[in-house]
Amino acid sequence: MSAKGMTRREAITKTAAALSFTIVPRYVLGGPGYTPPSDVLTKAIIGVGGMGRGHFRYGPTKTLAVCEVDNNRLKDAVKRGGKDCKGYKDFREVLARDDIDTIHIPTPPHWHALISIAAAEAGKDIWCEKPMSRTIAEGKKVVEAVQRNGRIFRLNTWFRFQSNFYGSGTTARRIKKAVESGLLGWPIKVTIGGSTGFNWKFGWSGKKNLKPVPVPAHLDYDMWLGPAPYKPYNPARVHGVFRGYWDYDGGGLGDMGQHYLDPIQYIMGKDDTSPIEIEGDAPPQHPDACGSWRTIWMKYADGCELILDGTGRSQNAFIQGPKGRIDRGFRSDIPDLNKKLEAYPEPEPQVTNFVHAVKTRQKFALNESNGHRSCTIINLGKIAVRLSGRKLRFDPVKQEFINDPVANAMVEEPMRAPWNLNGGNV
Amino acid sequence: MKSLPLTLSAVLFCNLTFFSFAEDAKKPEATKAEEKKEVPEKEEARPTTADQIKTIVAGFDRKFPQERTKALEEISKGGKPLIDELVGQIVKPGTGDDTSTRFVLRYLSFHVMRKDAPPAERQVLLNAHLATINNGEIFNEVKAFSLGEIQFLGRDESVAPVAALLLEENLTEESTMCLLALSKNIGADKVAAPIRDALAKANDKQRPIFVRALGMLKDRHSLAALTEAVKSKDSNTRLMALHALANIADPSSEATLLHAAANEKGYNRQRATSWTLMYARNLAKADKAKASEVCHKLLRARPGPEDGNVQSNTLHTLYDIQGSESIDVLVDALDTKNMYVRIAVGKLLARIPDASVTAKVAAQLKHDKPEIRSEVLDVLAWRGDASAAPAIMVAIKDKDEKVRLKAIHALSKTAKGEALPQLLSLVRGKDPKTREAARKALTYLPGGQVGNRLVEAYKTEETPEIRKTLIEMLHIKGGQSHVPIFLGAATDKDGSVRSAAFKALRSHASSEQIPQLLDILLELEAGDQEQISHALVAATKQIEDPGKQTELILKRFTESQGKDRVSLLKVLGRIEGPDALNAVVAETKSEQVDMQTEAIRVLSGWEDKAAQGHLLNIAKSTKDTIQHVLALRGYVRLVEQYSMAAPLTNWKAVLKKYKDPRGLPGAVSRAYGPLNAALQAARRDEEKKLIALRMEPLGGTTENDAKGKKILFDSKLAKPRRPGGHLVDGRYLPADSRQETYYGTLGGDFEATIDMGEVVMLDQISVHALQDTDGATLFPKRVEFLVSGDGQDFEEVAAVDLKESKDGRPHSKLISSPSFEDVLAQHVKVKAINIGLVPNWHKRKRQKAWIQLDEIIVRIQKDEKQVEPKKAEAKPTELAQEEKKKEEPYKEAYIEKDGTETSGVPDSEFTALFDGETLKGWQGSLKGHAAEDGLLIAKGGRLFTEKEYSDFVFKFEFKLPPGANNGLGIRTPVAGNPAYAGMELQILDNAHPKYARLQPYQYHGSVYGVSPAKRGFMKKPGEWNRQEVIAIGHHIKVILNGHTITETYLDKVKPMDKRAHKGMLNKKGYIGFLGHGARIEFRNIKIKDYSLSDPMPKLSGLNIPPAGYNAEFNGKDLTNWKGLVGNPKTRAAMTPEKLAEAQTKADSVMKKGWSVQDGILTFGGKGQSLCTAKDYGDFDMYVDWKIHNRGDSGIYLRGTPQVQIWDPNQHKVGSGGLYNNKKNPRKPIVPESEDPNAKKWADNPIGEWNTFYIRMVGENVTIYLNGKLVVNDTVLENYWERNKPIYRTGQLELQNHGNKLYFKNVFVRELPR
Repeated sequence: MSAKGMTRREAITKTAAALSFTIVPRYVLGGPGYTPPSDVLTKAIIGVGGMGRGHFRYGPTKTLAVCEVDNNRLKDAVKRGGKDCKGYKDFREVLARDDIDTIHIPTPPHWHALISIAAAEAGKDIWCEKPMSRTIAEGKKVVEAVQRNGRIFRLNTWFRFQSNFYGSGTTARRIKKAVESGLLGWPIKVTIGGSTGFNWKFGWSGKKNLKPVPVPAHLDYDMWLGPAPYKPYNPARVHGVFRGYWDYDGGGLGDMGQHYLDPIQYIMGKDDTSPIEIEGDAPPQHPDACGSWRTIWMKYADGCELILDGTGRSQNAFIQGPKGRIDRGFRSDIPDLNKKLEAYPEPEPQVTNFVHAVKTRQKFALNESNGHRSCTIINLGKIAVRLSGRKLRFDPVKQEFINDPVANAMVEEPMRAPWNLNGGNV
Repeated sequence: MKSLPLTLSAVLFCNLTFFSFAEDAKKPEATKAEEKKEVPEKEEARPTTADQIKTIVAGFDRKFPQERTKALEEISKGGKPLIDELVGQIVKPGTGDDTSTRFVLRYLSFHVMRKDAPPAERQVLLNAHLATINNGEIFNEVKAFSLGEIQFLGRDESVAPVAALLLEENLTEESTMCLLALSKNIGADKVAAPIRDALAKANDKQRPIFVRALGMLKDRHSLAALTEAVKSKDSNTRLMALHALANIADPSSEATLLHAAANEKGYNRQRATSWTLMYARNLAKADKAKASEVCHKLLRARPGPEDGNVQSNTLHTLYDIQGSESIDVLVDALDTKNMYVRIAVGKLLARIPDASVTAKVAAQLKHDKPEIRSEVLDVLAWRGDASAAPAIMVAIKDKDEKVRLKAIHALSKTAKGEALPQLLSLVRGKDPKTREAARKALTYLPGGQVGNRLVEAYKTEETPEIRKTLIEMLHIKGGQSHVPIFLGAATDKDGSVRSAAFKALRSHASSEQIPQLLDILLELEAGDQEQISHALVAATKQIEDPGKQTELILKRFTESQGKDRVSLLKVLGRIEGPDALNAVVAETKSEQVDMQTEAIRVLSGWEDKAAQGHLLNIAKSTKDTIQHVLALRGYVRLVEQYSMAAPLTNWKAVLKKYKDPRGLPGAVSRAYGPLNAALQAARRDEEKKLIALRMEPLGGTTENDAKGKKILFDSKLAKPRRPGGHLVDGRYLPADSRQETYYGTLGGDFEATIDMGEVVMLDQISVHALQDTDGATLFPKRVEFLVSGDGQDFEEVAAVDLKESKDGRPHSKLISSPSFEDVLAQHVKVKAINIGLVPNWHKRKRQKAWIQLDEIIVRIQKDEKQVEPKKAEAKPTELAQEEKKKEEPYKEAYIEKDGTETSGVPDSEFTALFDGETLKGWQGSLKGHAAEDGLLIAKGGRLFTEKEYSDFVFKFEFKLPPGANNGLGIRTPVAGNPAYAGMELQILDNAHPKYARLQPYQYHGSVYGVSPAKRGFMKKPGEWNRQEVIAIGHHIKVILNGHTITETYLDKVKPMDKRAHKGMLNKKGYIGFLGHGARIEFRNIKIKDYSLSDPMPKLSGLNIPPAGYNAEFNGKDLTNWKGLVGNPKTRAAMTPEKLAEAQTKADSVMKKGWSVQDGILTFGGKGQSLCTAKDYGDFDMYVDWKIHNRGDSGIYLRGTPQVQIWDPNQHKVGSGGLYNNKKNPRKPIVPESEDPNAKKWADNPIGEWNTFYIRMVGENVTIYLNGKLVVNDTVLENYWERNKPIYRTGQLELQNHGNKLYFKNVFVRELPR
C-alpha cells in the first residue's frame, strides 16, 4: 500500500520509520559524502532528439545529464536541462555517474536494448522509449538484465492504463473487464483495421539506393549506428526518419505498433506469453528499407487471435468472442452489456506512477516482462512482413521459431563490434 | 568509405522466397515451349548477355514470386558469363542505382542454395564473388557486398580469400563478420586461425574486432594472447579481451576477471563485473563449484549498499549455477539491509519451482521486522503455493496491521478456493479494513471449485450481509450455472440479497427462466418488480426471433387482471417491440380510465420511436389532463431523442442546455416539424412555453414568398454542402455550423438562384449568414442581390458589404437588400462573396473560409403582381438550347480538324529551342527527360530553358497519353511552384473522364488558377497537337490546333482560384515543361523573342531599320503615309465612299504641309497631322524627332492622342508623357539623377534630335525617350470616347501643332496578338 496523500518529503520529515521500509533512494546507496538536495529522483536522458525533448517533462525527476551524439542537439539539450544538467557524448560516461537514479532512453530503437541492459547492469532504473527492442533476443536480454539486477523498468507507452482503446470511447481496462467477465466467450479475436488502427504512420517506408554523403561534423555517426551494420551516411537514415530502415526500427509498425498493440496483450491476458502462429501479407521487402504491408495475423495457443488488417476491409477495431462482440464506441451486440458488467470486478489495479514504483520497488504497469511480450508482437509482425506469405510457428517459452532457421536468424541479429548482447552487456 | 556489409539477417531473410519458389519451379515448362514456337528463327533475335541481364534486372524487386523464380532460373542457365556480368554490375554506392541488381544477386544466392540445386550453380556464383574480393582493382565497397554473399554461399574454400582481407582498411568488420558466419557451417577452428594471425598484426582499431570475434569463437588457442590483451592500455581492447575471456571461460582466467572487477574504474568496472558473472555462468558448464566460488568471492568483494544490483545479479547467477543448492543463500538474502536486493531476490524465489522454497521462505514469517514479514508474504503470494497457507493463517493474526492485510491477500493467492471459509469468516469480522481486504481477496479468488463452495456456503448461511456477498461472488464467478440459486435469492426476505440476485439474474438469466421470472415478478412489491423486470427483459432479448420475445408475457398479460395487469404492462413497456406496443396502445383505449392512464404512462416512457404518433394522437384527443400531460411529455421526449438525439431526462436541464445552441445534438432540423405539432397539441400556457423555448434554438419561421420555389446553385462557384430545398422552406436554422443545416461553400463564393416561377414585383431580398469560429465559417465579405427576367442576364439590384467580425460565438445575421420600388423579376440570385482565406486573428488562419447561408427570403409586393417582365426577350426554345449547350461540353471534347488561327509569325522567324537530339539549352530534370528521334520525351520532373524570356511567341507540338498532366511554365523561376511563382499554362488531357470536375482555370491552356481556357480543341490522346503561346506584356494568348482557347490581359484579371499568384506579373523568367509523371512527347519547340528592343537602336544608316523592324518612312517620299481625316469616331461613322472622298482631300492637304528633305521628314507648320497608311494593333515603334523653341507635337497611337512632344523648358515637364490621360498617369517619369541641378526631363536640348522607343500592347504603353524610361506600362485612355477603352487598332500619327517639325528613322515592328 502506498502512503496515500503523503509526499516523500513529508514522509521524511514526519516519520523516520516510514523511510526505513518504503524508500531506499539513491542517496542512501550513493556512497559517503553525498547529500541529496531533495527527495526528487535524478535522471539522465540518453538521446535528446525528437522524442528525447519530451523526456525532460517526465517525472517528477531532476535531469542531471543529457547524452547525445549530435553536437547541435546536445548543446540545445544542455540549455534546456538547466544549471545542474551536464552534457555527454558517450552514454557510458553517464552510466558511470553514481548520483543518477534513472536512465531515460529515447534513442532510436536499435539502441534501446543495449542501453537498457547497460543501465540495469549499472544499477539504474529505466524509462525506455517504445518499441522496447528491435529484435526478440534483445528484449529477452533486457528482461534478464533488469530482473537480475533488481531494477524497475517502464516502457514509455501508456495505452494499457490511460487513454481510450481504438475509438471504443473507453479505456483498455474496461474492455479487459468485459473480456474477463466471460460475456463475450472465449477465445476472443481482436481485429484492428484501417481508420482506427493504422493511422500510426502505416505507410512509413525507407528510401532505396541512398547515396553516401559526407557525415556532418556535428554528428558522431559511428556512435549513432552503434550495433547497427555500417552503411554509408545519408541524412535519410538518421534523425526522425530512421524508422524507414530495418536496421534501426521497422517502419510504422516498429515505430508506433507497440503503442497500440500493447493494450491488446493486456486485454487478452497474454502478458506472459506470445502468439504461436503468425502470418503476414506484404509486398516484397527491401533488405534495407522498410515497405508497407497489408495484413498480419497472429494466433495464441488458446485460440485467441489478433488481426492487423491494413487492407481497408475493416475500418474499425473490434473484439469478438463466440458469444458476442464489442465495436467502436463500446457498442455491443450483447444486450444491456454495460448494466451486466456493473457487478463484475474491475481488473486488478496497476502501478502507474513511475516514481512511486521506483521508490517502492513495485513493478510498473508496463514493465520489462509485459513490455517485452508486447514488443514481441511487433517484432513477430516485422518478421512476418519480411517473410510475407510464410506461416511462422513460434514457441512462446523458448521464444524462437519452430524448425525455421530463416525466421530464427531474425530473432537475433549480429551486432558490430564492440557492441553485443552476448553476456548481457556492452 | 565503407559499403553495405550484409547482415546475416538480410541474407537469410531472402531465403524464404526460395522455399516458396521451389513449388513454382515446375510450372513454367509449358509456357516456355509455347514461347519457342513463337520466336521467329532469326539469328539476330538472340539477345546479348547485357540485354538479357537488362531485362531480368529491370524491376526485379517488384516482381511477383513466380516471375522472380523464372528470372533466376534463366540466370542460372546462363552460367558463368551471365553471372560474372551480373556481379560486375554492382557499383560503389552513390555512383549509380544497382538496387535491382543487388536484389537479384541476393535472391540468386538462395536460388543456388536450394536443396536440390546442382552444386555447380553455387560454385559459379561463389566464384564470381570470390573473384570480386580477390581483384585488387575493385572498390572495397563493392567487395563488401560480395563478402555479404560469401558468408552465405561459402564453405572451406572461402576462408583464405576472405581472411586475406582482414587487415584491409574498411573491410575488417565485414570480413570478420563473414568469417564468423562461415564458422557456423565449417566450425570455429578453421576461421579462428587466420583471425589469430591477423590479431598479431592488427592496429588499435582492428584489435577489439578480432578479440571479440575470437571470444565469440571460444578459441582456446587465443587464451594467452587474450590474457595479454587484457593488459592493453587501450580500454576498448582491454574490455573486449575480458569479454572474450568470459566467453571462453577457461578456469585460468578467474583471477584476471576478478581483478578487473575490483580494479577497473567507473563504467568499465560495471562491465568487468558483469562479465565476471558471465564468466561464472559459462564456467559452470565445466566446473560448478569453481563457478559458485567466483560468485561468493564477488559477493564478499562488493558488500556495500551501493552495489545492490551487483549483489542481486550475483545471487541470480548463483542460482543459475547451483539451482536448488543456492536456495538457502537466497532465503538468507531476504533480510539483507538493501531493500532492492531483498525484493529482487524475492521475485527470483517466487519463480523457483523447487517445492522446498515455500517452507524456507515461509519460515521467514517469524522475522522480527514487520517490513520483512510483509515482503515475505509478497513472495509467498507470488509463488501461489498452497503449502504456505498454514503459515500465512498465522500471519493473519499478526500484530502489525499491514502484515495482517498482506496475509489476507497472500492467503487468497496461495490457498485459492480452500481459503474460502477463512475469507468468509473474515468478511464477517468487525474490522472494516479486514472486511474490505477479505472481500477484495474473494473477488479475485482463483480456483475452479470456488463456485460450488460458495453455493454450499450460501445454503447454510444465515447472515443476510454474507448471503448478499455470496450472491455477488456467485454472480462474478458462477454465472449461468447458478441461476437457480439466484432465482431462490430473488425472493429472499432481505432486500439487499434480493437486489444482488436481481443483478445476477440480469446478467445470467436465459429465456428458459421467463415463466419463473414472471412468477417471481408478480409476487414482488413494486420497487422489486422494477428491478427484476430488467432481468426479465434481458431474458426475453435472448430469444432470437424478435417476434417471439414478447409471446409468453403477452399471453400472461391477456390473462391477468388488476394489479398484475399493471405490473405486466410495465414489463411490456420495458421490452417494447411492435407486439408490446400494440398491446399497450390497445390498453390506452381500455374501458377503465385507470388502466388507460397506466397504459399511457407506460407508453409515455417508450424508448422506441414507434410510440411517437400514438402519443401525439392521445395528447390531442384525450380529455383527461393527466393523460394529456403524460402523452405530450412522452411525445416531446421522443422527438428530442430521435430528432435531436438527446433524451429528455430533466426538463429544466435540457432547456438550460438548449439555450446554448451548441448543446443541440443531431440533425436539429428534423425536430422542428414534430415540435411544432406538439405546440399545436399543447393546451396549457406552461406547456406551450416549454415547447416554444425548445424550438427557439431550432431557428425560426419566416414568411417567405420564395418558399418551395426552385433553386439552382451555380455549380461553377458554389458547392453546396447539402443540396435541396431547405434554403427556401420558410425557416431559418439555428446557428451551429456543425449541424450542417446551413448551405455552405468552402473557399469560393456562394451563388444560388431562385426561380420564382413567374415575373413578380420584388419588395426585398434577404438571407441569413452564419459565423462560427469554432469552424472556419465566417460572414461573407459582400452579399450581392441580382435579378433577371430570363435567368440569363442578371442585373445587380443591391449589394451589402459586411465588416469583418471577430465575434467567435456561433450566430447568424440577416442580410437584407433595401426595399425595392419597381424591381420586376422572375429570377433572384443571391451571391455571397467569400472572405477568401481565414484572417490571422483566427485559430484557423490561412485556411479557406466557409460561407454558410440559410433561408433566402424573397418578399414580393403582393398587389402588383401581374406586370410584364422587364427582360424576357429570350424565347423558351432558345433558352432550352442554350441550357443544353452548357450541359454538354464533353461530346466535342476532342477535335479532328485544326482551326485557322495563328500568331501570324512565319515559321522562318522562329528559333528552335530543341535540337531533336540532345537536351542542349535545357536545365532542370535532365534525367526525367530524353531526346530521341526529334522528340523531347517528358517522364517526370521539370525541364527549363537555360535562358530567361520575357515577351515571346512560343510554339510546340505535343502528344499526350490518356489522362496525362503536364504544364508549360512561363516567366517562372526554376525554384518554387511555377503555377504561383510564375505562370503555368496547363497541359492536360482535360477531356479525360477523370478530369470531369475541373474548374475552367484548370483546363488545358488555362493560366493555371488565374484565367480560364476553352475546352474541346484538343486532339485525341496519341495524336499531335500544335500550340502557340503568345506572351507579350500582359497579353497572354494560347492557340491550340488553330483555335484560341485562352486570351487574357494579366493586369486586368484577378486569379479565379483566389490564391496568391505572386509571379503572375513577372516580367521575365524561364520557360519550362512541368512534368507530373505522365510520359509526354514534344517536338518542334520554337520561340520567337519579342522582348523590348534596345531603346537606342544601333543603326547602320539613316532610315535603315534595325532587324525585325520596317521603315515606315523610306527617306525619300511619303509612300506609306496619308493625310488625316476627322478622328476615329467620325471616321467610323462615315460610309466607305465618303471616307475615300475625304481621304483624297486630306492627302492633298498633307502634301502641302509635309515634305522630305535630305532624308528628313519635315513639317512646315501648316496643314494636318501625318498618318500611317496602315493600322496597327500591338507594336514596337522608333521615331526620331526634333523641334524648335516652344515647339509642340506628339505621336498618336492607334489614332489617339498622344505621346507628348514639346519644349520642356516652356512647360517644365519633359516630352513623352501620355498627355491626355485623366485617370492614369499623364506626366513622364523624371529621370533619376544625383545632381540636384540636373534637368527634370529626358529631352535633349532644343534643336537636337530625340529618339522615342514606344511599345504598345493591349491598352498599355511603355516609352523610352533617349534611352530613358518615361512611361512605364501605362494605360492610354480613349480620348475620343472616354467611357471606352482604347481602340484595338488604328493608325500612327505625327501630330501637327502649328509649328515646324522634323522626323526621321520611323521604324515599326508589329507584335503578334
